[in-house]
Amino acid sequence: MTITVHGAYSLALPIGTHVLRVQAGAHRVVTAEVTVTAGQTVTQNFALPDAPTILLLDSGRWYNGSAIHYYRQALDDLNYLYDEWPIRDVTVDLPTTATLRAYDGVIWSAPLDSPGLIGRVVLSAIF
Amino acid sequence: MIALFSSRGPSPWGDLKPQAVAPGVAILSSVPGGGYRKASGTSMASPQAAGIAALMRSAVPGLTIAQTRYALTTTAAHAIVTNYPNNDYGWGRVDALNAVVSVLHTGSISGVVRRGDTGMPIPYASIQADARVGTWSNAITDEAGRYLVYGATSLYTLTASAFGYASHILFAVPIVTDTITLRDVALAPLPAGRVSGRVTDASGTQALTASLLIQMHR
Repeated sequence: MTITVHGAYSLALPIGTHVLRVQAGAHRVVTAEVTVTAGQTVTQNFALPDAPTILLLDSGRWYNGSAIHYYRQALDDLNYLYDEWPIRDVTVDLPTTATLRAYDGVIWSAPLDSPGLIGRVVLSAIF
Repeated sequence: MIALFSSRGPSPWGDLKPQAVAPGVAILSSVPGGGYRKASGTSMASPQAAGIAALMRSAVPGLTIAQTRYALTTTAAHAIVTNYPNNDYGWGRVDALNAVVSVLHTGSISGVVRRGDTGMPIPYASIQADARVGTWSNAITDEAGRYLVYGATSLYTLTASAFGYASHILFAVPIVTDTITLRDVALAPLPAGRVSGRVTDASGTQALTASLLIQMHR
């Protein structure tokens, strides 16, 4: 269940222990465990540290050699948010420089090629 | 819907054709050289029928060709038109789950999960059936609160749970060959409390617009 919060929030939840996960763009993800008791209000504030915006490019997809899960796991473990850009088809899915520049950082996963390899000349030699 | 390019019956000798149908238009498939592409025709449809036949024979080794054909056609889904069998769809569209269930002579438990107080159905409740011999099966209720779990003949412990409700356990629910055991479950809503607070940047001063996900409950 996901809700959008503008600064302050107040939620009715069934009794028990819940894990709340809060995420906002350009900030690290913060999770907290809260225990709810009947009829009581618990206070749980979230202070989200700044983080770079990250694009995760998966170039392994177009030759079915994706290794993107290593990067996902590492970023998830470190509570970083990221967008993903899978290159399923090299003829249509290539990001423009404007797309890449919009992010603070780009992680380009290229298990069997390199970002430089994805150019028209090399591709025409492959196919 | 039957494809425009699909052959129709009857055969020149008056037999019903086709006997059954399987999806065969724009089916995603793996292709040589590594990759996926969509294609149409019997090359796409017949592997699905063959796959279901293989599934049935791995569930019941020694199933004869006649038994396999009988199960495939009798369990086929009837859609679009009402006059089955016919010379466009045969006995219907092959159905893997129903075909395998019919040859295994599996039984099932079915029922409706409702609120204990108002009697309203609870959609997306989870149902787990644990057999005494160690196998288990699970299901999620549909919009009408209805569930269906398949299993081999045994006694099952049935656990119904849903977010915001106390879980409920039914003991010794039988599954009998080719039979549906009906068990409705009532779940009591849990009392509620409140959680409130602020979402800010690291300094604690700047309010943020964020998404809040209720991730786990126990």
